[in-house]
Amino acid sequence: MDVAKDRDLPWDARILARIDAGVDPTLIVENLRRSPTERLRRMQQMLRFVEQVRGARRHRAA
Amino acid sequence: VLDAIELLETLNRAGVRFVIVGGVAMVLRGSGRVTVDLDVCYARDRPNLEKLAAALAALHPRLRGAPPDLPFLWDAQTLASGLNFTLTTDLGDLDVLGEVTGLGTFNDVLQLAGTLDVAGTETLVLTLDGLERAKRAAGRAKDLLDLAEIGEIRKRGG
Repeated sequence: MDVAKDRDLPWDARILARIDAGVDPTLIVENLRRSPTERLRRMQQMLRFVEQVRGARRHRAA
Repeated sequence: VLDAIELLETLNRAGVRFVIVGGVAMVLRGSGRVTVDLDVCYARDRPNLEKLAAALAALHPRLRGAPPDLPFLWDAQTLASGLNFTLTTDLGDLDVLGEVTGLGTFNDVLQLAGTLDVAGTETLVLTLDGLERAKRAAGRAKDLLDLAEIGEIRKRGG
């Protein structure tokens, strides 16, 4: 790593150069093909799914 | 569960002046993340406070995390007396922010916003530049991951 160049980077870039942030590029490409509304609807579907799973777990535990 | 689209439609129908910031702005700009609340930065002129208070009143806003018996009056005066409110509503969690860390107040945020069609309404959403600035200023671990995602979205032409 070029130390002099590294010093000029913002703090986040210095950390991100050293870790795997776990960003999935295929997911981003897929999202960018959707309209903004579709992106939001998809997120809401995921939230509802998570809530259903939580509800099912609560039901089973009761 | 958050119904961001219905919440946004409620604010837009009432003519509230606001910019979407935070996780929902990330999603609208192409992020794959999931967020459980909607963050908006609102203009603090009196007519807008009146509109915001009236628009949300029917959704029974209460302070998130506060004891249920804590008295809370939701009106324009309360908005004028405070700045940032973390609320729970009938349509999910909503943060109404008079100021955003790293960006400033509504007029500052407006400079870093662009319109997107959200459910048929042109809606102001923080740009990737604005999100980057806010995330860098907030500086939490999750913001760092968002910064990585913003970099990837840019790389992919978002």
